[in-house]
Amino acid sequence: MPQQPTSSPNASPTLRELAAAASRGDARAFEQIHLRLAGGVRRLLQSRLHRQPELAEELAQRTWVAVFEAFRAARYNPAKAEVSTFIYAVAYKTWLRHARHGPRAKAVLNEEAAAALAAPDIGADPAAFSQFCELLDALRICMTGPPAGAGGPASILTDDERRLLRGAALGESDRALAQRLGIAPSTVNVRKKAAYAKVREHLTRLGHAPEQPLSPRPKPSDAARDEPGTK
Amino acid sequence: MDDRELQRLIRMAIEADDLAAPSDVAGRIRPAAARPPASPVIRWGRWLAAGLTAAAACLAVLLWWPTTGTPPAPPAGPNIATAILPAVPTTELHAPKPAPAQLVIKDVRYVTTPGEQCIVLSIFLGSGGSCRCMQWRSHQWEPGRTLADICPSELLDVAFKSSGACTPNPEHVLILALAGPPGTLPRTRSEAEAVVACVSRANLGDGGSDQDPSVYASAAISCLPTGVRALAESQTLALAR
Repeated sequence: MPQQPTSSPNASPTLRELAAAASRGDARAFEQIHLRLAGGVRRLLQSRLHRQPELAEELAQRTWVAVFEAFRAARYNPAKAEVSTFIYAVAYKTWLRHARHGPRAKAVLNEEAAAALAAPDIGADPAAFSQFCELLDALRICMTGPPAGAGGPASILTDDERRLLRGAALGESDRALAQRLGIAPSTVNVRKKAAYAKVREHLTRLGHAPEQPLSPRPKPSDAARDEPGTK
Repeated sequence: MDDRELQRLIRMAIEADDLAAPSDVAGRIRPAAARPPASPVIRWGRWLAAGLTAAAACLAVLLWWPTTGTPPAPPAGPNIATAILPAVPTTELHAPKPAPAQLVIKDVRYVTTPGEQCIVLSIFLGSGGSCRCMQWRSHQWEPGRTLADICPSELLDVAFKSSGACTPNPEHVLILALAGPPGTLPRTRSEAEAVVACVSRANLGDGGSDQDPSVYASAAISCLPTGVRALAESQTLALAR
């Protein structure tokens, strides 16, 4: 879980503090979380649903309903995952459930990470869902580095490695990365592989066992499980 | 878990990180509850096509209109230039919808920096697909970030951050970010208009159907020197009514 600095008495509470309060039933804390993250959820869904702003809005609302239910039923543990990661995962699964039944379902299943496809919905298996959030949290720390003054272990990736992995994850080609970083494309490939190996090793140490092949693609029964009304 | 799988998960981690990023654009998008109950689904691609056609028409008329209107001189050197051009009817040109269009270019800033420069163009479209106005502005990403690190959705923040929309109640916005070494980006209004004309032509060539925003980015790049990169995003806005 990414470290967040705690707020001083006069500063506004951190998301982590709000999440802890909301998970104890504090409705105002939940409202604050909504206020801070609603824009991000909306942006995420709009970027996934480029030409369907109305649908993005609807899925955003479904996401918040699911998040609210999860808080109310104590299915979210703030000690396990960052609240922004948790809400991201709920939004992602909400989008995925919709996309699986759309015209681009096959492409979506090919493009998305198997770990994300295999992760259950929050309502189906909260423990497994939480595990998926922990995996994303671990990757977030890898990609941002520990915050200054956190006193935790040093970052596992160098700044250059983070730039490489970030660029690659966002679709930048080796050639473009090479040009930007002033190195040869072949060097980019070598460094990328080394960085992936470091991340993989780090995840293994945390118990995410990434060396095990994850369930590659959802089976038909998985898709059926996601059908509305077939819980 | 192979490298590709890990790469996809890293993308998700980045997206999760972006979720908590502050944005002032969130409040500008109309919440569903505030919408008219029977609001039809907007085919923004078509609206955008109409708007870009109107923009192209505006530019064409301006270029062929030597005696009327005296647009201000383009900026020379690092400065801020504001140009407000007269309203131009588009009916004589092949705009799909005869809507009076007003082309306003303002807030053109050129900052000379040794590294990569970036210019962000926002084209705001009103009802009927008319081109309401365009904004050009230079933009500096946070230290260590370049255009390649930017999510298209972040362009919305840039478009609205400092001054908001340049017209009240825009229906749609197309945002185009251009980055490249000093000297490769448009420096005058006419150069900027040429890029917009390229984007418009690309759209017209496809018959104005729904377009992926990357099509506009590709069209812009094709008219600019080698080394320039582009990123595009389009969005239906929700300020109206």
